[in-house]
Amino acid sequence: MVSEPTTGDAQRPAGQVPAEGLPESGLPVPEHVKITDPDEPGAPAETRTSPEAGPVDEPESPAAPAVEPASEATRAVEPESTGESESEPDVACPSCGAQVAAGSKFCEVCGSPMTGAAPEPEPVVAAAAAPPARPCARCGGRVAADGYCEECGAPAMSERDHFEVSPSATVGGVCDRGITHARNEDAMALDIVGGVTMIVVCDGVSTAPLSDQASLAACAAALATLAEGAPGGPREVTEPPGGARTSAWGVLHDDAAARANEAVLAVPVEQPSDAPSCTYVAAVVHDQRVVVASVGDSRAYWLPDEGRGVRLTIDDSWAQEMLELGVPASRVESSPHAHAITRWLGPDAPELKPRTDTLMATTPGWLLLCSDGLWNYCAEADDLGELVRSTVAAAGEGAIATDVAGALVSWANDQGGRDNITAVLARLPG
Amino acid sequence: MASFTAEVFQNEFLAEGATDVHAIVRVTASGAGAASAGSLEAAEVIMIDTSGSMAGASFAAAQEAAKVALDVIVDGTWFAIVGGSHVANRVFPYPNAPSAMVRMEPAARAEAKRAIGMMRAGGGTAMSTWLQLAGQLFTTVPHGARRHAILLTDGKNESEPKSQLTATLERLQGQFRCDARGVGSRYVVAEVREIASALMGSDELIRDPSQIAASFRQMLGESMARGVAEAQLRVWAPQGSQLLFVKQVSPKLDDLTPRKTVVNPLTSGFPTGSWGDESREYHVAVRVGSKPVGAEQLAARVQIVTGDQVQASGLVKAMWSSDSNLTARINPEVAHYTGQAELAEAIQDGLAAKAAGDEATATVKLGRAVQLAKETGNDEATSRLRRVVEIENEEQGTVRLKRNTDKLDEMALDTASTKTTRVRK
Ligand SMILES: [Zn+2]
Ligand SMILES: [Zn+2]
Repeated sequence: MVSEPTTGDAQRPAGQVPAEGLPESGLPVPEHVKITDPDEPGAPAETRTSPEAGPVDEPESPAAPAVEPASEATRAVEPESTGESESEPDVACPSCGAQVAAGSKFCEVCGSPMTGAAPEPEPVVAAAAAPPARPCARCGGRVAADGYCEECGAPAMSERDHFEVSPSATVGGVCDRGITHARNEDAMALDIVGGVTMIVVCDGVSTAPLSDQASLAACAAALATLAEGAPGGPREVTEPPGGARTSAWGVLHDDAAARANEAVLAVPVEQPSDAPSCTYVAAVVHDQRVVVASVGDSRAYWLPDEGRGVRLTIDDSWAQEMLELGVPASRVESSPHAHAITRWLGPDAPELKPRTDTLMATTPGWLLLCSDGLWNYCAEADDLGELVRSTVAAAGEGAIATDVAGALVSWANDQGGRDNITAVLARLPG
Repeated sequence: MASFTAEVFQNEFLAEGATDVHAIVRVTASGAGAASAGSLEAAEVIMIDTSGSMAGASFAAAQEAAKVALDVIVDGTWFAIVGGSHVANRVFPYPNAPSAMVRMEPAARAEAKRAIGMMRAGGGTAMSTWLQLAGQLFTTVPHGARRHAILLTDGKNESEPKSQLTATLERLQGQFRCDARGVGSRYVVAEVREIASALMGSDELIRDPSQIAASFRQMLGESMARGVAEAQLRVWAPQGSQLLFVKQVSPKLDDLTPRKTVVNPLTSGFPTGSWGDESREYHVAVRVGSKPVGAEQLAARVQIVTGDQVQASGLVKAMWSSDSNLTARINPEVAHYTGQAELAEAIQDGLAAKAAGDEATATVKLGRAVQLAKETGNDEATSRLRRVVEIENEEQGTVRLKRNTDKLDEMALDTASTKTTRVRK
């Protein structure tokens, strides 16, 4: 998922990779990749290793972070469990009446959020009585009964297509369908638990019908696992600042990625070829210490106010492998394989253990986690730093982190919005 | 009870970089007919030209027609008769009567006929004074009543500057509907059209004075079948967009854009006058900011409103696409009415050039009109054009101007130029 003007969405490929590289590129093709640009005729197909996962008989509830919506009639049927109760009866979608598996966050038919299962609580936004309709995702205007904004005319977006989470004024994210895609297969989950900021972003790399559910479930499962390490949690990280603390979070990161993978596997699919998969990036901010973990090509950046920006993650991508082999960036980026990723979460994932990195944020700046829907338009850390700084300046006094993340999403939409876009920002004081 | 529907005809797909959205919106009223009109308070004012030029057969016929009109107006309707020259006179109720308008009943009808018989022709023509008096009379009837006037003239509005009439019409807009009629060949088509257009009425040429009575009867019959006194067309367009124009395109062309009022910063209102059971079509054009391929947005909400109640709403959309099969299509309704508008302009420009002695321009314009009439299937326009030009090639629009054409034929062509045909299915 390197910058490329015709970037398409992540798509599940099929069939075998030819043993030899593709002639037009002259570059070797790794044997096990997922192609994320379906429009390229020369795109090699993915090697499908046999799915290790047997049938997953019990849908794991993705609703890990507790969601406490206003009392709703349908809430009674929402399982609180993390998977103990199997074969929950189906629940009727409050929007279209379709039967949906209990615990689903969104209706599979119409995409409406299932009551009581909104992706995240919104602590900063006043938890007052729900307004009659969500404000416009594009301009914040009122959405009329005809389904279009009364200010800008944008069509109303479902909760799944556009959602915002604001654990505090300095930590917030926006996850958006973008313009070209019919569905939002990006997801995010973030929270501040016992003073520790934790953020997860996943990008569904499949056009399998349920990859939007998979990415959401992965985020929720990972966040719940990371939260166990927060103060007061069952696996509280008590190590003093230093390498031991980083290691402790590293263990939690490994477990979180594994739980996220299980959540992806737990999404019920009709046939194995429908099985969705997703990328994964997570970050924990414990005091000044930032520990990140990633699988795939969603990224984390450290963008200090002064000095140079740093990319904290290494893509698991064909392009990255080629760059490491010394192939010139220009050649890699123009290749039809530029959008292939080499690792992911899902049934045929080659290796789950995330790459991790750590950083001491000793000066003020922004931690950014994002999907390629954003960084495809601005990949270099310094460019992103400049973009964030100018966006912060334009947002003005009183803007919270979520506002800035929203402005970054709008910016990506203005660039064409050719993929789902997720941006999560945490302001670190240094 | 009257109800409305709104249908939108458009190609919502825009090519990358495109900004202009065109749509035809058809508004249809039902249950607004005679039955509904019966329970509505109504007021009628009949304005008869009494200038010196009317003296003779025209005046006698106009008096007769006004008397016939009184028979058609149903009892209970507020009414008044105005005689107009360079000044306006209230003929009935008599100038010394205490009320400006009275309700129709048999005795009032008989007395009004007597008053009409006593009218005398003389003086000049200043139509703004007639309309102003009608406007004053209407202010005396109950709020919410359907207000309708008829204006009959045979001559040019020569006793006042043109700007006087235009300014008066602007002031009176939305206060009452006025159907305007010209009789004979000495009146000015454009003046009568201006009055009808500004006051949301019809305009027609009456070739012979003997046809005045039938015309009056028809106008009043239609008026009494309008059960909705006033409806407003509202057009919302998004923040940052520009409403290019709003035109009525059916049953006749009428540019509503100059009559725009501000409902709120994003919504414009246009008076449409009274409604019976009928359909009217509007061409709405909006310029929006270009969006990336794949983006969708609402380009306009078109609503018909009575009182403060939205009766029907149509959505005009914009969707940017890279599929040229989708974006290159021109919606048939939009194409048809764009052609009809061009046809009207070609006829009016051609006749104006001919009147000014510019035969070259007249030939080109009327030739283009012949071509457009053929393309848009407006056979009535073609047959009217045939009375003014010899058609050499209909498809190519090559014509010769006829010599010794009847002035009335030219006026009929001019008057009818704004009448449109519906899209052939
Ligand atoms: Zn549904
Ligand atoms: Zn909006």
